[in-house]
Amino acid sequence: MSDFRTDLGKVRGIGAAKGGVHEFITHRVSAVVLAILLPFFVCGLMKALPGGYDGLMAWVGSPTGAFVLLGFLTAGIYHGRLGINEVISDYVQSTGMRSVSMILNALVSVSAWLIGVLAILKIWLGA
Amino acid sequence: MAKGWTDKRPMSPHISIWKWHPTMLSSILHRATGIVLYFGLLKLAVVLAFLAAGPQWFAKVEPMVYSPIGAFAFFFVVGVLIYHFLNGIRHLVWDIGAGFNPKLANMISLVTILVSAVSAAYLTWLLTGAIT
Repeated sequence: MSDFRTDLGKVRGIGAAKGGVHEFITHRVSAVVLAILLPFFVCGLMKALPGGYDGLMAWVGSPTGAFVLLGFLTAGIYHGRLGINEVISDYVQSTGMRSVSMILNALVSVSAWLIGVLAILKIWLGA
Repeated sequence: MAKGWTDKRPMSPHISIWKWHPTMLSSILHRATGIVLYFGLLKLAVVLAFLAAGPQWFAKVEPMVYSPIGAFAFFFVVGVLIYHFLNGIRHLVWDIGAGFNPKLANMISLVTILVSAVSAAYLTWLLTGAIT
């Protein structure tokens, strides 16, 4: 029986990675966002921490503080989730355990993001 | 990974025969610090939730931050953060296709580790000075 499929068609999608261009690019884009926000995050933290509860509340309650924290937490957890997924796909060999680990990672990441964002919004909108 | 490998011929090169060099160290550290920072972000989200819940709740996590252990944790996490930040910028430069000269890359690896340790120590010193 003759084979009508092209060589390229036969190998497409069966490499080790199978996919991941989107993850590759968004990992780097979120890295750029984090690199821009990081100095503001560290400066804000350095100013707020000595003030204890009131200092931290003032920081999170200010528009710039809330903006920096929301951006940092969002880009950070997005970037971190992609990074942990990469670690999982490097070291977890069985497909089942890999899927379970990645779903757990997604649940933890999204939960932490929601907890953090809701907390920032509560403080900022209540300030 | 040697698991499931049936070929009797020698496998080369493998983990045990690699010579340690700075770029290898910085690559491993980049992954390790990334994992640490992920847990750092989880902690940030939880502390923000305690902060939003009110002063009586924040008092429960306060000793975690304002204590010698808290100062050490700050030093560790900030150092890790600055390292991942600096080395991440280098990764972005590498993605463009620049900065692959081995001598320069090895030197930058060591400088990055040194700069992050020193700046973390400086920031911790500033902060502990401002708190007490």
